[in-house]
Amino acid sequence: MDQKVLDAQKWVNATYGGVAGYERCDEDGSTSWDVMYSLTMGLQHELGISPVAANFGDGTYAKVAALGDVTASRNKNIIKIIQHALFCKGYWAGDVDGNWLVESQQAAAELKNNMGVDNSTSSQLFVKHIKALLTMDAYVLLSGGREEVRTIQRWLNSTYVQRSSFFIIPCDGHYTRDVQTALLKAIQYELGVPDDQATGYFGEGTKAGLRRNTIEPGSPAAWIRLFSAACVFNSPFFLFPNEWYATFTSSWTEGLGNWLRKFQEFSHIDPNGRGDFTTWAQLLVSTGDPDRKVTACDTRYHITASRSRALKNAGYVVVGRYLHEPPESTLDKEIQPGELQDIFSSGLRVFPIWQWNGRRLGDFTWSTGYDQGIMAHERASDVYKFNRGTTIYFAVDYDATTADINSNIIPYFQGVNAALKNRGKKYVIGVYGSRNVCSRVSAAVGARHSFVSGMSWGFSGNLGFSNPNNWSFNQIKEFKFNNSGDVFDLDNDVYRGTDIGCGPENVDKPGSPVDAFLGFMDRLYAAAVAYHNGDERYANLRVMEFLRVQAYNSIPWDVLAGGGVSEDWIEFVANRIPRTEWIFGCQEPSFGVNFDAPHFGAAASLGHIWGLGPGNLFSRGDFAGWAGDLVSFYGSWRRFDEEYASGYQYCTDRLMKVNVDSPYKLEDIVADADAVIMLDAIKRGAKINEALRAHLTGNGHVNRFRTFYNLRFGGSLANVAEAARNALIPKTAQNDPVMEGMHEGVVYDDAGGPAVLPKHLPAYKLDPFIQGFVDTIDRLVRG
Amino acid sequence: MILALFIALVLLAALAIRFAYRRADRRQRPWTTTAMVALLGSFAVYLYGLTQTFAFELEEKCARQGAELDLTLYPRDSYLPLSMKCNANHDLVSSWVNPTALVLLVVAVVVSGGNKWIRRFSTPKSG
Repeated sequence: MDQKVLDAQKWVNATYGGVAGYERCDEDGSTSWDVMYSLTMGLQHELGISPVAANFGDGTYAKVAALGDVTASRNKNIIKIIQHALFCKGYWAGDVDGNWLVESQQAAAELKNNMGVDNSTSSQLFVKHIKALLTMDAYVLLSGGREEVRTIQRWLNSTYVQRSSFFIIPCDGHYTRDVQTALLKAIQYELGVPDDQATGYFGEGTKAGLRRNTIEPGSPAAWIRLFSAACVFNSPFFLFPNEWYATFTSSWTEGLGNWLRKFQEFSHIDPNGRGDFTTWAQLLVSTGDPDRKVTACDTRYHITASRSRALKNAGYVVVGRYLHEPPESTLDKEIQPGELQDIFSSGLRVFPIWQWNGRRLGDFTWSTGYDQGIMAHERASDVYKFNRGTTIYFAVDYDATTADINSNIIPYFQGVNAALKNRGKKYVIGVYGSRNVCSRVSAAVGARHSFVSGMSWGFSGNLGFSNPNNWSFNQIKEFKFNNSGDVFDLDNDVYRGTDIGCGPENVDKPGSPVDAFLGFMDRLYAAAVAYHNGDERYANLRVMEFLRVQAYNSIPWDVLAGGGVSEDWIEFVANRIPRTEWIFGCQEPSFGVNFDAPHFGAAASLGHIWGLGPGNLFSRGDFAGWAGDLVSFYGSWRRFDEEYASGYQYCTDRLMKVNVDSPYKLEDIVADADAVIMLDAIKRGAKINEALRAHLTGNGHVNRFRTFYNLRFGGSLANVAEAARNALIPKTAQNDPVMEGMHEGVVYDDAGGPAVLPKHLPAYKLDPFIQGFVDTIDRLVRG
Repeated sequence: MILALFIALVLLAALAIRFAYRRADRRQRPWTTTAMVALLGSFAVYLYGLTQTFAFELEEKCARQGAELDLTLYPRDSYLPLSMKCNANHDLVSSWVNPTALVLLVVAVVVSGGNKWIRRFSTPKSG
């Protein structure tokens, strides 16, 4: 609660409560749109507008513009409204008495400086400043925002604020729809579009202009600025081996060229290193260049053998088809009996889509998600007999807002997830929707692949959002495909190749994607027994060590383990199993992510040697698994300290995600959790190969996070918090200076240099970080 | 803690040079000092290379250098010569580390030999 905001709320309600059309705001001391609207209505009343409305529209704009410098007004209530608004924005405006004195002037000057519109100390406020002041836009860096983006936002404001159709945009470091529109307007101004026609719409005129403005070394500074701004807004994206960040610049640099090539590669467009039209379009709108050549498609029409051949001849390799449709639908869009064979007959592949209405908010609840998850499983499994591990894309076919996504779409996918788990998680969740839907659902539910509805580039969920890292298909154009007179609707999809869909080998075949890996584990276990001349007592540890040594064999690990892995043992395996047959991963069945066997081996082998805990205390066994990843993740947070003042926000955005690169990805916690579960099984006498088979092919993996939570934390979130704190501080049962040294090393390594250690971080900073970890574990446990 | 360890190593090295320097006579001092510096330099270079092999997440360290980790590579590491490979074509240990450490070691040995040679031929004849 902010006293100054409360004062503003009380004053505006008391002063204008009786005005026709006025809507009272809550008097709770929190800044919100309500109080901004109330202040706007108060201003309208002072300007003689009646009835007032909760909107800074054209009429209000004209009246305020007519005032010129609003701070020169003799109407004390207008000055008070500005002073209250400044307080609501977080600026200290002095006494709210209707007099425009030094403190108010300093607040206004600071506001304008933050907006980037005035670097002098001028405190004059004109209509665009007032319009911006009466919004919830922030002009300081907000958590999760990037300084580089904020620099561009301020630059756009300072450069184009004099243009009649340009309005001040937020300067909070976040790329949003408003920011993207502002960039498009700036491009239109540079193209020579008259101010009143610069709408920020990516229309034919803008496209034609961009075709004439390929960006390359030697291009004009103004164009390179705009182009590099678009690059920054599309940063970061993940493409092996890194997340790629662009820099705002006025001249062509090698860094910009390198970023561009990576972006083109990520987006599957020609990696020519130049800002041609296709690249411009890809940077500015979700459809990119809709006329580019693609190799995937989807359709509601049946694919006959003839259509299949025609599609194949036209260069397509995979087609998306529907698993089912509601009984009231007359579209008859589901895959028909024999259709899969027709699709495969030409060499085409197929990716399954689930859409059950899915065109409005009310279609999405946890319950509908659960029901549809069950139906999708039954159709995919019983009717079409798709193999285990197939990705099904569940469709969100409307412009869901962030509020919709949080309130309904994510619960819907949680319902789908629960249903698929109930059926043994035979199928992997994919998501179809806008960029925002895909990103948020992937982050919240672990959807493995994103099928982006990029064609609807005007969707609020596409404007101001970059392509999700896990995009697999991007739908960019709807058209009529002509198969020698047989004309049917087809959507063109860009095919990335991360989900190759299903061929005949993926239909009605036994087994699962984990079989090859489990077969290797059997051979490895047999080798371990043979290595010890038939003595099985050490076989489990040898297997774990073999897995560990492939990626975790440096000196720190050997010191931490208390010794290196015997080279004789590795040699023994090498002589027994050809290296070409070594397998260190597979598609994990629940989420479709990689099962990282070396990570699992490291966590399991050190857990086996040193044990976990005890209780909530920290041990080398924990350090090698879940807790070491947490320490590593902490280090990465310190690296991004400027962007993420809030550790909780950092966890929310980057911890245990399927589509974000971080030291603690979803596949890491999968390996860590499975290590704890296997250690428990081994303690009870199991052979690791058999326990892992039961876990990955039975139902073990479905409830892995709950099992992990119960085994390691006794099923208590309070224990999770305490164990996490002990891991970060660190607090062990016995003094372990070696591990403490390595603990520091991990923090520094991920922080990219010296950083504040967790034990030195104030509680108000560390506690939210720990809470972020606790809530993430809770979310995973609840599925 | 890591910083403390590093400072301790530097101090130890300085003490070793000082000790050797004091024990040597005036004519031997330049040779002894050169041999000691070369030996410690070789050791330092090797130690530096060793730190390059340190990786808590080898896959991430390789990725940061733009290299993919080949999980089936064997053997991946060795101490002589120092090596930690991400794949057949990329080693985490800089290419100059092993040759530099070797050259410095050879210098130390040769200079020590020179030192002994001086001692032998400069011993005063009895009688």
